Amino acid sequence: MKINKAEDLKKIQKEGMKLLSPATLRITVGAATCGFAKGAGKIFEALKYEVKKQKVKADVVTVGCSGLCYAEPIVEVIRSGKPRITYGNVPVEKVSELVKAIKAGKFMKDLVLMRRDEEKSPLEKGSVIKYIKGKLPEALSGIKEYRKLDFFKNQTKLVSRNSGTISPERIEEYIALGGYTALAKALSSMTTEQVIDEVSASKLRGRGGAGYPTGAKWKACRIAAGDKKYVVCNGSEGDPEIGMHRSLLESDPHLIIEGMLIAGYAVGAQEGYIYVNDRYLLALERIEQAMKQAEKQGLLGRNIMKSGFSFSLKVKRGGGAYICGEETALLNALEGSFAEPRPRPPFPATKGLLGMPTIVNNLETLANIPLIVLKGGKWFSGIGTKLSTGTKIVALSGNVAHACWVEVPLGMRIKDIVTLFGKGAASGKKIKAFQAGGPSGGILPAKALSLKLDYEQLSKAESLLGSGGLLIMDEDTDMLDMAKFFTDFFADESCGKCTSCREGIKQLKQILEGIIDGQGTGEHLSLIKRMAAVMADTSACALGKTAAVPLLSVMKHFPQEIEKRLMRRGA
Amino acid sequence: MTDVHVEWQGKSQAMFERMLQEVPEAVRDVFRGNLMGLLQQKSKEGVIFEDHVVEVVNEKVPEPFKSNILKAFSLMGGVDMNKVSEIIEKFSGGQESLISILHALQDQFGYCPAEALLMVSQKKGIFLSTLYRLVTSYQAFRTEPPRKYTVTVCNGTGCHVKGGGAVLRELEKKASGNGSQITLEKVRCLGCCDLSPALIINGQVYSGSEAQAKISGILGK
Repeated sequence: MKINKAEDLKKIQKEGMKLLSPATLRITVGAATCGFAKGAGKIFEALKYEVKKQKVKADVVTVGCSGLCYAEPIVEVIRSGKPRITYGNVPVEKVSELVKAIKAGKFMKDLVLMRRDEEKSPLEKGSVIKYIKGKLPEALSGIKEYRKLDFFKNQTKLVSRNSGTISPERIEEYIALGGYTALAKALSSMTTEQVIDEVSASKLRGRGGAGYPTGAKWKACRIAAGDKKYVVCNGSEGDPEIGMHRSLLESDPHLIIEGMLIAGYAVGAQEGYIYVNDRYLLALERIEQAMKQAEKQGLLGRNIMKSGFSFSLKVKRGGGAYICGEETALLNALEGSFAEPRPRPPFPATKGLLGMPTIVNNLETLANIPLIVLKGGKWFSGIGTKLSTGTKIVALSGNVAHACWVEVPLGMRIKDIVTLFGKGAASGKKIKAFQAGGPSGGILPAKALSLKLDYEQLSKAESLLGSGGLLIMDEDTDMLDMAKFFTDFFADESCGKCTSCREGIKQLKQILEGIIDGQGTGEHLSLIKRMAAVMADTSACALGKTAAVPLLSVMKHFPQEIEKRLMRRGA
Repeated sequence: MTDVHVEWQGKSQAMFERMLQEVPEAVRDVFRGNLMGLLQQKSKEGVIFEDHVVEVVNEKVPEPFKSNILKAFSLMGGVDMNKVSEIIEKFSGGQESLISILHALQDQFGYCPAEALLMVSQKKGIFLSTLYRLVTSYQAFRTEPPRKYTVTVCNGTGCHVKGGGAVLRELEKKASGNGSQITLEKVRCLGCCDLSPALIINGQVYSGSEAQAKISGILGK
């Protein structure tokens, strides 16, 4: 069926609701990359087998990731009239027993993580699904409701609202929870200027690193002259940490498609590209499947919802280069050329892909768009801080007890994020340092954990919000080794275009290796500082400008670790 | 029959021998003599190119042997040139299609074979040097066929902090030896930071110590 108007969406919404809250039984398996790594594939097969063998009528389905990476594999059971029960760390040997319990209307106490009585959505007041009908059964009252858990209580789930709940392979389920209503609203009742105005009013800033205002970027592209315009979604995500883009694409691909459609409508583009990291095979599979479904429903292609707006979408698998996070290098990669940055100006908004006006937006930025269109820019700007509005997905990794990703309002204290969600260091030792925003962010000492997670505070501390990675290091971590790790990283990833970056990093690496070997002197330290300044001044893109940041931050915050390894003069 | 004055170029000799294998044994020696004579006529100053062998097959070998031999040629070195041609045709456009083509080649063969790149270069009108730079500057592509075991090690920051560096150094030692059965791949993040230090051995994810045991098992074999 082609969706032509809001009523058509309502019909599909009902179909989707029947899947999410069925009259019988729904059993879901968290099946994103993190789940598969811990055996979700086997669990899924075992569940299907056992359900058939024990003659239980159930819809066994794979869903995305809810952020609880440490508790994977996760199995959830939704039975008509009963709360949604979540089981964590489910071993495949227990699946038979679990199905037996489900059949008997019981639950498995030793595996249960939490229960969920109702589904809330940022799109609507009240609840969108009431799982529980009547009174809560006595037997279940001992299980904690999810909103009572630190992990969920302290999150503000906006862009990740559907992750782990809906099947990424069923468009009906996305639509059931309000999907594509923002597109319908924009196409039927808003002018392109109005859409851009809402985005500007939301004060949404790019989630990739630089934090450029999204509304301003769109406006520049809207007014730029060009026969054709393009929307490019940057899902390159080359940071060496948990992939939140991967997770979003694997859990809720239609959200990205909807965001891109609205962006295309607003700036007057007819074509869009999603650039996906080369190793994200599952994400590629799911986004491609989602695109086919959207096309079938008439939500992609010609004359969408009879509005006269046409938009086509292509997915491009990247070649694997960190520098593709930089928007002009990404454009080069899309054109099949070498991943190196172009001089700016001209900015992509006026001269981008194939010389045409182009907006390049981070995947997470685009995921915010449907919500802004539905709820208004003013509503959105009320979340977070005055200058850093909205939420940010933060991935916790490194020496952290619970590796996970969470969505929190900007402005939350980093210490709270680390203790509430990460539960401290995995080793149980003291946290010595952390790094925010990926390799280009400086390494900060533990006392900086009191900073707030927003663009301003982090850049003032010479770190950055960047992609939202939070890497935790405990007191046993050798800071010089970390500096070397990042310098090696940049040496690998420099595209070689600018001499100061290409050669500068190589020299930094040599000097650093010398210091680690005990050959360094105080003069080497001042040489590093001088070189870093030249690299920052003369490199074309952020990679070269920030390549020395990790090393400089170690020198600044952990000088004692360097000094003890310097050669004593005359020794 | 003597071939003292003949100089074989590229895979031409291997192709010649491969061709004779398709011929029934009873008549093989006769064919060998006749075809060799023909090749010598075609060659200039005794230098035989791959194309000469193909020409001889086309002109002198009857069906169905001819088709079988040509097919066998296309599969030599594990690279089915028909497949390469199919892949190139699947992606229209010029430069902008290259990265998709390279991915398709690598998915098919496990690496980007030189002979396939040559064909891409000819069919798309792109310099071979440009292709080589693309293949070597992007991390996704390999120019060598993978060995029996592919070990993908997470070289992400999260895994490094939890001891991934030491795992990597040890593996580098083990994989570098001559006759090693391991192709070592370093990647930025495997997306399962909960298992760090994480690595993938032939498609299966392992964490820390269990990975060590698995690798020792492989090397012990």
